[in-house]
Amino acid sequence: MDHLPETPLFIEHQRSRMYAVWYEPAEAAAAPPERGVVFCAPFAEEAAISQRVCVDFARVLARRGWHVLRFDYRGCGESDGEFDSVTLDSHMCDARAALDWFRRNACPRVSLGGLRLGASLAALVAAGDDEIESLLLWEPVAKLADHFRNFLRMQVVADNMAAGRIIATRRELHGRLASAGTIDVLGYPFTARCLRSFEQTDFLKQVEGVRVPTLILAVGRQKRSRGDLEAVVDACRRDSGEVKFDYVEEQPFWIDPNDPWRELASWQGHDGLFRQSGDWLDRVAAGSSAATRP
Amino acid sequence: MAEIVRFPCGDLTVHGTLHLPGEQAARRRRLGVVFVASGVRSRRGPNRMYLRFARRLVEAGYPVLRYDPPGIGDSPGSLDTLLAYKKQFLDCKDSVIRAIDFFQETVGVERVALVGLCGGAYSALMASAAEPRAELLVLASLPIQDVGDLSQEAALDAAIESYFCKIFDWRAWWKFASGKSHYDWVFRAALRVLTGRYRCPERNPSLWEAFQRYIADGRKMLLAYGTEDPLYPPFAKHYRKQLEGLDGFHACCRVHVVEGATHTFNQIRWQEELIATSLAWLDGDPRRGGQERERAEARNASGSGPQGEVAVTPH
Repeated sequence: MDHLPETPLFIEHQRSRMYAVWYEPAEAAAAPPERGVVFCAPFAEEAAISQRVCVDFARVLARRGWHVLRFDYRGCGESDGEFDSVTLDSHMCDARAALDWFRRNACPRVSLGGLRLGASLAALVAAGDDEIESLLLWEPVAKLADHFRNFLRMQVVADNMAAGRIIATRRELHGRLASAGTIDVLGYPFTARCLRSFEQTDFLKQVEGVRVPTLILAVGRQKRSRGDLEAVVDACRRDSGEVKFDYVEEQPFWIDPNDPWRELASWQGHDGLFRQSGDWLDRVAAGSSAATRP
Repeated sequence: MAEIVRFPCGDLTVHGTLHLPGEQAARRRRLGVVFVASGVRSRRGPNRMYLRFARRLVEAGYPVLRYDPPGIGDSPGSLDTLLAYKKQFLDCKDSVIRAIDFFQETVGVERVALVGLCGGAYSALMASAAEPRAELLVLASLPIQDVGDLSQEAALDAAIESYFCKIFDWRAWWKFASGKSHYDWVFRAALRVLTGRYRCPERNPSLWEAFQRYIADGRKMLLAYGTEDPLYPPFAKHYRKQLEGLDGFHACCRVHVVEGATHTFNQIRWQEELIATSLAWLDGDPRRGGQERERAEARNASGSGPQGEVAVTPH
């Protein structure tokens, strides 16, 4: 396999450093005008579990002629800071900083992509930025506060599995979060401040401002009704957004299977997701190039 | 300060992070710490544990290197198949040795401690047997059973052994009765036993050989397990006694058991206990202590606590 240039780097941002990796296309593929994608990772441990698939996707896009930037939010991954300082606003601020850096240093024409909460953040950033070329959303999260609370549920399930008994119910975890301000959820210090930032964001209302071509992809072993994603589609369409929604019948790769073999298996078999995403990005980019050609 | 680094590993250039202590704190530069990636997780470790651990080590003055082996995390390479993963897992020592080479050339450390969890612990021990620069090991959730070809069957046999070890533990039965067990595994395990396909996993002969070679050199090791780790019951019931029968075990090895902790130490308090214990143990680097410390360690090791915990005496 060919090895394309990949540059790990730190982006200076608000007196901290955000870790990022810039994937560059092969010279032959990078015919002008240059195009780029900034890809936003999901929340907490989902980012670690899905990391390898996101790396593989970045490499696939680079082989297709795209510049790609993956980055870790502050307090996450390899970036500076601790998770207890994370809020939805800090994540959005970091996504904007990554986008700005990429526009300045790689290419001015940038699309945004993301997985799960990363997809939602990409949409929120795009709602306030008219220069985004397109939006690629893998399994965006429609109800942000529920997403946060689901991690508490995962902690309850993990306790049950490990100790065979309920150590704290979800309600008790909520109580502790409210009283102590911080609780340990699967090795991450989740804070009440972070929950408030999720609760205070009306995602579906805010993404009504998205006006760029958008592809929303549901990923699952079988097609099933996805009211949550249809709500996102409706919200994005409300302001004359050009939105496409599709299913990819593949294994989800952001859920911890508690088994390294299953986790390894979840990295494989995403050709459909990569191809569908890459084809769509190419099509949109070709369309916008034609439109801007004098 | 963390720096991004890349270094050659076979035909590839792998990604890593180098943590260097400030000048004031750099009193221990002769000893550096290398983290060996755990299973399929990147250099940040499960639940960002390696990063948390590394930051604490740097505060204590140790330079630290974390890296992604080929096909893992940000590094190039591909583990397209389970076979590729098995090959990397079983032939892991090359990447560990390349990491130590790079670390020595870049930072100038004279000696190295390797830290690993589960697969990382296995890789660290296997590499250290062939690599005398690795003088200290911190091995968490080390799988001692023979994982052989890393097949599902081998994993299932290991699970069955763990179930047998817990057969008189009421908590295990309560867990089963209250709907909280991994029933697909229990069912497959029962089927495997009933159809006579179950083979009690032996201890891993290569690992055992590495263990013996490491201890024979008088090098030191801290073994850590969580009580809720499925690997812990067979360790406590069989392997610990076998290990204690090895010449030099008490002088070279310490065992620390974290009450309630799971295989991946996925709560901060368990990680903190592991980190604090490891730091205290590394700070008392047994190579510098002479015979008195050796005797104290042997005393500690023989006077084990309720969970087999060994008191850690800061030096």
